[in-house]
Amino acid sequence: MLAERVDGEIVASTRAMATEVTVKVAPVARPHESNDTGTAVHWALEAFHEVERACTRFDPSSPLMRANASPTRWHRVPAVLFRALEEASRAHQRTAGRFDPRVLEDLVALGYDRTLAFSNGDVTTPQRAVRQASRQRRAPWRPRFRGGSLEVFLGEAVDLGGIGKGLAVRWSGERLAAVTPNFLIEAGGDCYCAGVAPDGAGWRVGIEDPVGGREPLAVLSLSDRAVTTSSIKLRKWRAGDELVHHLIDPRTRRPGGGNLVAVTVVGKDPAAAEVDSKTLFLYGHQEIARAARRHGLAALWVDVHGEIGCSDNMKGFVLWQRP
Amino acid sequence: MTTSRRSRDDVSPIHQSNALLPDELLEASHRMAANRARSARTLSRTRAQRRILPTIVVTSLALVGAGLANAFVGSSVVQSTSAKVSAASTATSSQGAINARVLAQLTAVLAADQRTLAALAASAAKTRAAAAASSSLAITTSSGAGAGPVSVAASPVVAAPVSAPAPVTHATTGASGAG
Repeated sequence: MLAERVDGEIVASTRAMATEVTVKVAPVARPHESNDTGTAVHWALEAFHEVERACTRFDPSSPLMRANASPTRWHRVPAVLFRALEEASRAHQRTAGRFDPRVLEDLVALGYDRTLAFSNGDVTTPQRAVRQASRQRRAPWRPRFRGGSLEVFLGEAVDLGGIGKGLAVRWSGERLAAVTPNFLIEAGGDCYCAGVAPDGAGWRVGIEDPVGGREPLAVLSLSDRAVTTSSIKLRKWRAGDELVHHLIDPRTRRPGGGNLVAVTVVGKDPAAAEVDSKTLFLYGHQEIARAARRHGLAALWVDVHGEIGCSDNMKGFVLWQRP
Repeated sequence: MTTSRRSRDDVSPIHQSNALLPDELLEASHRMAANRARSARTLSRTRAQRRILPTIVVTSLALVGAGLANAFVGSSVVQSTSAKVSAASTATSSQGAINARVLAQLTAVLAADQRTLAALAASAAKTRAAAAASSSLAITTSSGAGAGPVSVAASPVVAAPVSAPAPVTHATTGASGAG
């Protein structure tokens, strides 16, 4: 963990969940609270490591992968994984199955069964034969939980990649909120902005242009809000002869989203915003505006042609938009 | 602390959470809450003192001042009014004549003003009528030449919007790091 003070503002960062995580805390009014804020920053960053240790699918010895190894048995799991699975189950129900952690099997079939070096450019994996049965539409996921003993029954193997980082941001934010009202957590596509920035206004968050370039698509002004982007800018690769990406549509069990490249959602909760950005992405460029309106979501999206769309609920957060 | 009162629905779950925090952080949180409560108590005590004391001092001074003023007025003003009653009564009749003269002058000025206003209104009406006649002539001419629909109101010339640079940001949301 790296921490420094810039004009009284604490800035600390760490690398976890394959992402550079940064926490910024606005200067505290009372100097004697500075130590407590430092402690909170430490624990806030630690939350990301805790989620990674418990929920990664890239480590066969992780609690998640041990449970995945025999999903039709009860497993006693760490509290972090237990809560993450509960949240994933709730998100699955809330989105009527559009968010489905069981896409693990489909990702593995496309060769995404290990950490891939997406940032280095071209990645090619062998496409595996997929069982015919796994192409059929699935029944809803119904895991079972025993809260007293922290035991879970998964039913099928799952991947928490679609919600894990959002949960880490949420829990990290809870730790910071215990001691300070004004802070920012930035973890790649997922951010949480609490209170106000050091200049007294909302935190300004740029939405990266997935096509490239330094200028953002838009700049948002946020206070007590999470913002999450689901993008296929990085996590796309060639599986056999086919160009694929990591956002799997549980209905077709294939990469979805049509011509969309990235979807950004603003919400109160980082985990819910992450789920919403992924499920909205899967609606595709033709349906996303209607879906965002129907669900009352604050969303901004961009397609392969660079066309930017924005829901009415997002407009209140947009401070600047590229002409 | 934010001081705005927000509805419960508008509050992020992060601020409502009763999640289990690490012991060290829980202690820090309690310590800060206790410090803030102590500060709030001290502040409210100071604020009360600051509100009450000046009021007492000002009220006392006002009462003493009023008493002194009353004593002074009672002793001096009464004597002078009783001595000058007859002089005041003789001045009253001449003052009435002056007032009548001023009233007559004011009435005359008011009448002149009303005449000026009427003349101005008539002039403005003439100008409007002339302008209307000229614009309708322009429309007729243009339509007669076979042009499309004509807009009566002339469009103001608007400069092309200058694109402002993106504001400096605190964070970026986009593609997360490769994993």
